[in-house]
Amino acid sequence: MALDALSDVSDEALLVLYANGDPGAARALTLRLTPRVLGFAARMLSDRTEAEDVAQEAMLRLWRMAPGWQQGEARVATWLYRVASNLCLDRLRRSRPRGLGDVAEPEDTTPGVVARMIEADRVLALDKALAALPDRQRQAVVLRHIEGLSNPEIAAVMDIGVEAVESLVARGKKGLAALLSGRRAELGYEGED
Amino acid sequence: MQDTDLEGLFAEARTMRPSPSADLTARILADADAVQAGFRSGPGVVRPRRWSGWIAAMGGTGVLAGLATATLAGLWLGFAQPAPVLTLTQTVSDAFAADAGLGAVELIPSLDAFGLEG
Repeated sequence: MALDALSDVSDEALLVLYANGDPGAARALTLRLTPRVLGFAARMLSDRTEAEDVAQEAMLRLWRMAPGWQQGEARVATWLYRVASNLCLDRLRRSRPRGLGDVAEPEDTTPGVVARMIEADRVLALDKALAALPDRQRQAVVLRHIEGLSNPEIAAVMDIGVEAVESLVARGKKGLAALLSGRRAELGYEGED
Repeated sequence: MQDTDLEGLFAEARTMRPSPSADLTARILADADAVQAGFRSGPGVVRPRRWSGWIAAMGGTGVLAGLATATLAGLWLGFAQPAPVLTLTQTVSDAFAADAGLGAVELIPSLDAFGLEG
């Protein structure tokens, strides 16, 4: 199947195609899913190299389990985030402390040089603040507010209840606000704090 | 920091994901190809096994190979009629014929009368 013909095909359908030997399905899935799992891992680990390792390992597990995928039970992305989460948390438990300086460079997609610089600085500040949160709070906040998962999906990824997700997200956002307060002017925000 | 400021930061972060390098993409695709190749020939794939039970009953592929060889040898001997075989046959026949009284053997002499057309 041509790559553009696969653009409307769901992740799940692509995975089934892949399991049945389709030569284009893997590429479509890779282009679609790798940025998401890489972005998530980069914000969890604050280390680009480690994040790439996690992304590759998570995708490898996806390829291996493709023939056994149970259709209609879960979203492929949710499954992938769960695998990536566990890989990230394993690495975080094994290696302390982690560097806060090597955060993934944000991809520059905004118009205007100055606006771009301000946005990049703000996102960098956010990433550094995220890195300072407890692991599970960071995980919940990133999945909810950056990766865009719903609370039930996050509950499935983290293997906890929806209320626990809401609590983690609330505490994480409170922590971020505290870490970033006092930097509003520096980060380009106007008005009273 | 206001909640709206945080929401704004999150929105900006959503537009700024790290791009996978070409090298990472290549590695992931290489993994995909290798795993997919395993689907076609691995133990999990169900292949037609119509002959496997029959082969096992005959004693396995080794036995069948020997049987095939013997069959082909016999066929060759029959069609090719190599000289040593003919010679052997002729020699044995001549030996019998040369032996006194063994040219034509009357097996049941009393049946001679029945051989006459009436």
